[in-house]
Amino acid sequence: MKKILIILSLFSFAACEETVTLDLENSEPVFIIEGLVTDQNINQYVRVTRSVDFYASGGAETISNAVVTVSDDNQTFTYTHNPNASTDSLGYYLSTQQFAGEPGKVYNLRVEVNGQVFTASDELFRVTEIDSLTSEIDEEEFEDPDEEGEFYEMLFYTTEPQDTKDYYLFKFYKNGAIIRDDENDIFFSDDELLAENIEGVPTAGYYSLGDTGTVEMYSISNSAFIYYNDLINLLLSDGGLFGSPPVNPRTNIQGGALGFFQTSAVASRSIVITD
Amino acid sequence: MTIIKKALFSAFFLFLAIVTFGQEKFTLNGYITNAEDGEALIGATIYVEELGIGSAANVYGFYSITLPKGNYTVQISYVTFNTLKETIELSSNQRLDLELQPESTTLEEIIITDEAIDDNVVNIEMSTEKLDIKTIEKIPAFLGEVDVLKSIQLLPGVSSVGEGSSGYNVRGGSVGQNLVLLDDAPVYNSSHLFGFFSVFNPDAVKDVKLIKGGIPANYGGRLASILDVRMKEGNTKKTTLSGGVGTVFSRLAVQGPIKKDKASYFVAGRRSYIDILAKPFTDGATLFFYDLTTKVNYNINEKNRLYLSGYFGRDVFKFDERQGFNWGNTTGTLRWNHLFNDRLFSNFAFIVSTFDYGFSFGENDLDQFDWDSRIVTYTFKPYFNYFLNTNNELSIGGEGTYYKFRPAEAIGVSDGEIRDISLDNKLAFESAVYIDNTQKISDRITLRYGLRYSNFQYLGEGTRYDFVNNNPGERKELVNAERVGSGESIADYGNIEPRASIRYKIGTGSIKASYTRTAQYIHLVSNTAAPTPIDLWTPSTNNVKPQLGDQYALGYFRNFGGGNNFETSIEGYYRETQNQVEYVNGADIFINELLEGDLIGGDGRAYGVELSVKKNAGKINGWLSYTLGRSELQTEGINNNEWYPTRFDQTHNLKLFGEYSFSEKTSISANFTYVSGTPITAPTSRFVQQGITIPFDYFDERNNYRIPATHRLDIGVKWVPGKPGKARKVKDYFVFSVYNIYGNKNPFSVFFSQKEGRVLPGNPTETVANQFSIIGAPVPAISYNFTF
Repeated sequence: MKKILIILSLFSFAACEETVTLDLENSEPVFIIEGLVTDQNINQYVRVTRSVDFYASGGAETISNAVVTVSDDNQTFTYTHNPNASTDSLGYYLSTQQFAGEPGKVYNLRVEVNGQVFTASDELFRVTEIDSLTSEIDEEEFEDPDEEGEFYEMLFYTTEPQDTKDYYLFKFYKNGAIIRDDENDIFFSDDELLAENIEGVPTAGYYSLGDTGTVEMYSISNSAFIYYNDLINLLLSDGGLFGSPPVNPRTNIQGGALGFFQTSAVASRSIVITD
Repeated sequence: MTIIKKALFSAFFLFLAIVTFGQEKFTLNGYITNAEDGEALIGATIYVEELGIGSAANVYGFYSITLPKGNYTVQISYVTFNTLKETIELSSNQRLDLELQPESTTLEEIIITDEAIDDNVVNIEMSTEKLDIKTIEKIPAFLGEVDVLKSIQLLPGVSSVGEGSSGYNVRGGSVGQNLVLLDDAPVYNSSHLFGFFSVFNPDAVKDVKLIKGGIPANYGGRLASILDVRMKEGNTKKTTLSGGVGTVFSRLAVQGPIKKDKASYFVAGRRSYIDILAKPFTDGATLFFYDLTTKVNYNINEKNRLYLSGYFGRDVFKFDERQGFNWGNTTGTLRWNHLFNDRLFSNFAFIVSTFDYGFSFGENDLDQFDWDSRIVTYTFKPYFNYFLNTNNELSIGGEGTYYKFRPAEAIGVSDGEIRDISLDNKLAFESAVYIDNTQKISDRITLRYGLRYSNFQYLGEGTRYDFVNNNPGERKELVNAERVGSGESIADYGNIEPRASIRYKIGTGSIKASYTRTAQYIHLVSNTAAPTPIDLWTPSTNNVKPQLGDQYALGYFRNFGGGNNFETSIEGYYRETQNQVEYVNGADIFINELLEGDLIGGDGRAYGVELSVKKNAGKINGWLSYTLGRSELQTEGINNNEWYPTRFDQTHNLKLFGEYSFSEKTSISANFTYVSGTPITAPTSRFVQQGITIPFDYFDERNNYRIPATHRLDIGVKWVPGKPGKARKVKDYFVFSVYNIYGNKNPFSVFFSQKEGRVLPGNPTETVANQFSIIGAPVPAISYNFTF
């Protein structure tokens, strides 16, 4: 809906936008828990941080003394904080053993920090395969590329199962780094408007010849879909004038923390960009 | 329902019994019209000097007054018209159609009648604002285009959430709580260009009346206000062409007699052309509107008149060739005025009104999305105006509306495969009967009292949904969905709506008080601060209860100066409302089959004080309006169950308008506005997830922060070309205006984002607040208007 604002401002040539400093209320920090269990056999992660005031400088406060476990019906996996003692992995907890989540199972997260206990559960759904990826020149970008030589788009092909209600989250990579059209983009979808054969849907960003493009497709639950939807509404909010007013994202974490505990099956595929 | 009808009818006969049969009495009646163009003069007054009594013409210009046999001098007067004196020898019932001459435009000749023009004080009406088009035309307007809805926002008790925003708020009510009538037809979306302009073509508007409180029983269906806009009927004397060329759009209107003094027509059209001018820069994107307002009337004979009026308008907004949206209203009204006898006037109105919008997205035929939504209503309104005797004037009538809501006809095409995600139509029938009497008890006291009974049925064919609400404030859980057959009732509501007003004269002033209960059965679902064209109207159902409101108002009215130069009033109001439409957190209001599960009912309260000072005559004239107000909601599960301000709550609202005439050729006008900031929901904190910085509100409150107050000054100069004193064949004038002359950057919205600029990997992202001003600089404009 920001697009309306842009058009309105075109119409009213006198429009302007400026950064203002608001006298916002001070708040208490809130625990933020972000966890992911995939169907890949890896050290799964959970991240624990605390929120900061809107105008605070610096990053989030990382928490290193939490006790983190994830369990399914049969077993419990324990997590350790930053096992490799790397400075950019503060706040990250990795499962001590590698394990792969299984479709159809419900996973339960438990985080205990300073005597407070937070729990969450999420069901892991199967994901469909990525049939293939192709690349081609994007005509518009070719005429006026943002970066020289970067005018290939990557197209994506899959078969969407029509008998189940599915939700998907997508991540796109260029040479291993995540790529988005806009820094606030989150790509996710339900299958309401998806036909069975998805043929040649363009992904985010543009590539140069020889780049490696990767698509990761994650299955997500309905509550994760709602969470991402809320996030996007927050990120794209125009202040509630034409869009809905900002609302805190609906989390699946119980106990007063924000964030989300997500379980996903992941389908992944890469290509080298060619003509 | 039958019991109520019986009660109304017995009340009617009771009133008939009040008619005194003592002295021999006769009725004088007729239509009061403008001598120049034959337009009916709504509210023109007729005053009998000998008896010191009077009456006023109704909205069709019809009056009726019953007097004992005798000779009388009657004065007929209307603002900006020369008062007419007639001597009458009343020895039988007499039809007397009257024509008033407009005051000549020269300033020196302003006539101060020996009778005080103290309508403001004497009239029973309170909380009611009238604007004639001449006044509206004087107000310096954005881009030089005068507008009815922007003008009423200069009146006390009326506000909006921001410059250029759509709709208006009356006494702390939401936009969807205003009933907007165009020649009796409800208008479901009154905006063009997202709210910069309204659907009312100023060339076609004759009379505008806004009722904020003390709502008479013949109006109903909305809680906050009634805006009754009446269109011109068309010149019955001669054909005229008028129009204007402005910065945004051009207007053209033609009117004239079909048969002199018998039948006339009126056609007015507008189209904006910014899209044509901007074409080289917009890359296929376009934004424009057009509308057509038309009317025909036929004076069949002394007892019967017919009026047919229509409005058709559309806005088109395209991102490119294939994608975009459009929206528009269509209304049609057929009215038949019939005189049963000298004192019983009636009108039967048949009305059709629709509002629809359509969306199209998708780059090619294989992947696209089309969505249309529509509301269609058919209304029949019988109305009887019975001029019982000099002390009682009755209004009796009814209203029946059949609603057809089509929330979404939506088709998605994915890879050539068609998906139909359309929602079912929703059908409903709303009806009302009412009786209303204005009774003069004495010179001091006038009463107006009435009763309205309204009924609403939500009908099949449709689906009845049942929800449980375990967590207030969150989406309700569906427990049962059941098909209901055609014509069967899904929900049925009835409400008795009493209305009462009193005027009590004290010295040269008067005190007025009123009580109004109103019920509202259809709801505007709009989760945004300013309404958008894609907001939906939805009926009351078994889950969504009708909104109810009780308003109490008390005011003191007094005029000062010779010829009542200064009209002043102060009014206080308090309104309590029930079942206000609120939204669960993260409500999904578009193409949602289970919309009812995302709507929750809250309580509302609004109160305030309005002050108004007007100077109507002289070289300098204008007004001051000030409102101090508060508007709040309380909804279970929202804002920790505490009261919170509505998105349009405004503490102070000050409007000053003044006009000064240098000469008969040149006048200057100015308009100053100061309004408190409205509340928004602002974050207090932020966190980072998957590399994205997300703002959030720790306290989880709604509307917890107020954006800064806005103020601006607009100036307009009207200049009539030609030599002074010489009449030109063409009546024309130029208007030069500057909106927001000192370029104040008035906030329209505030939104929150990551700090601009590239963040080095590993470095934290910070967040900023951005204030957006639609108009942050002076906006000059020029327009040319003509009539010949």
